[in-house]
Amino acid sequence: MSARIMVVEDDSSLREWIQFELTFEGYAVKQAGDGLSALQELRAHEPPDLILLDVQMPGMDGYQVCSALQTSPALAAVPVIFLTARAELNDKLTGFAAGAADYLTKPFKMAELKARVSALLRQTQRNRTIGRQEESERANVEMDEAATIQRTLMTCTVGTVTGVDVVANCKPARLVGGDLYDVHPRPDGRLSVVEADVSGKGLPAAMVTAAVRTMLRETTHAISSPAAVLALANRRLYDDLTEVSKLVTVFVAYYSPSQRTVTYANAGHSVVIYVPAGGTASIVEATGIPFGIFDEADYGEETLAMGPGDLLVISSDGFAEAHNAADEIFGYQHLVDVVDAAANMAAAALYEHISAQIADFVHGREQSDDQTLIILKGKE
Amino acid sequence: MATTKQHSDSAAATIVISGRFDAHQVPQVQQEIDNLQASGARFIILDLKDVNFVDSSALAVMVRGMKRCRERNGELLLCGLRQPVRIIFELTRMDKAFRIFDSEESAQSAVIAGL
Repeated sequence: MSARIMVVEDDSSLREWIQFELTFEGYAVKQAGDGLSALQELRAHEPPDLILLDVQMPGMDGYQVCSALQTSPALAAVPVIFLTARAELNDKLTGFAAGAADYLTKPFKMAELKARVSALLRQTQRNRTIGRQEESERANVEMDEAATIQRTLMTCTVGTVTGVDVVANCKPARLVGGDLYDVHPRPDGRLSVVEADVSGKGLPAAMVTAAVRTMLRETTHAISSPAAVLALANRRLYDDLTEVSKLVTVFVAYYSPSQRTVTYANAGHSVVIYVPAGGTASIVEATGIPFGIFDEADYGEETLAMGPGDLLVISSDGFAEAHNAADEIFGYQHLVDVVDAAANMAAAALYEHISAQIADFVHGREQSDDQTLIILKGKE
Repeated sequence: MATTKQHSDSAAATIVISGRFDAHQVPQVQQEIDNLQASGARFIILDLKDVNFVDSSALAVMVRGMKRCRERNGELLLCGLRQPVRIIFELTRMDKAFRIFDSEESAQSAVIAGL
């Protein structure tokens, strides 16, 4: 788009000449014959990129116009070149004090006017680019901080709970994401294991995870039944989730070191896979719907053995729904098969194995969804 | 892609969606649903027979549409779920939240019969 220039000059022949020459250079030029109509024109329309302003005009002079421009944030940013017959130092100083960016004494050569116009416009463009860069750098720094905070708030603390190896990791598709995990010992000696996935990804989803995490941390600490945790947390989060049109899938499990069992409830979280020692892998089905659909939702509760060699893999949908370049998805059964074939691995090695299988499948295609994985493996 | 079909003699307007129903398509589908509701539609059918994948943001926009239909004493119905999509609904238990039909015709009939 061509730069827009306003010419304010009471001498109509000089005004027409400047307009003619600058239009020829490709600028979009508007003109005004006195200070007052110039101000009205400037206030009524999108600010131009540059103003050429005569000093001596009947009514409002150029200094007064320039001072008036400084009171409007949009117009104060527009560079002004004064055109004047006055060549005294004091006149120039008055002009700069009024807010001028440059000063040209009449009579002037058109070539010099064009050179000054072009130099000033280049400078404005440069400043805008720098401004945008600073803004984007600031946004990047803030996103990095947000990512650090989100990572820090995801904790896997086993404490003194014995009998099980736990590995948890979250890889957002962008710097921050809508997945979360939280593993911490309960006051009754059981280990609370939580994984959740807020619909969508990136910053909007991440903002919801903060509220979900707090709610689940509080409810898993206080309530001894995973099903009751889900029912209460859904009820408390329902209105907010409706407001922002989000859903959350949640898996809550309590591991009991004395019973060597895991008791869980599952609000639509997939895919969760269980492999009993020496047995075959199967999908652990949901025991109720995701959060944010009905304000009152009931959840079932199930118990699985978590003795030596028993394995529970809790993965967010970013694994089974990982896409390759041909737009094929990795697949739920495929993930079950991978876990089944590697069920004898230790938890940490299994995590690496699953990640490698997914990476091999997507083959360099950009990760499109958050990927979170918790692995529980019963020790000898 | 999402296109809206609305016949003066049909009980419900139908939005036909095709391909991957994910974050890229969600804004358009949401707009179509909003437009229909703004023009007074109480019953909306989402025809998913040409959809091969739905992600969580698509599930969220369907739930949003369903809630708003129910606020107006209407309903958002789904039809034509293919196997990969059906699996996602079953795994998340979302099949319990929606009225799901085999075809658009059976969904239209259900609306005419007062569901």
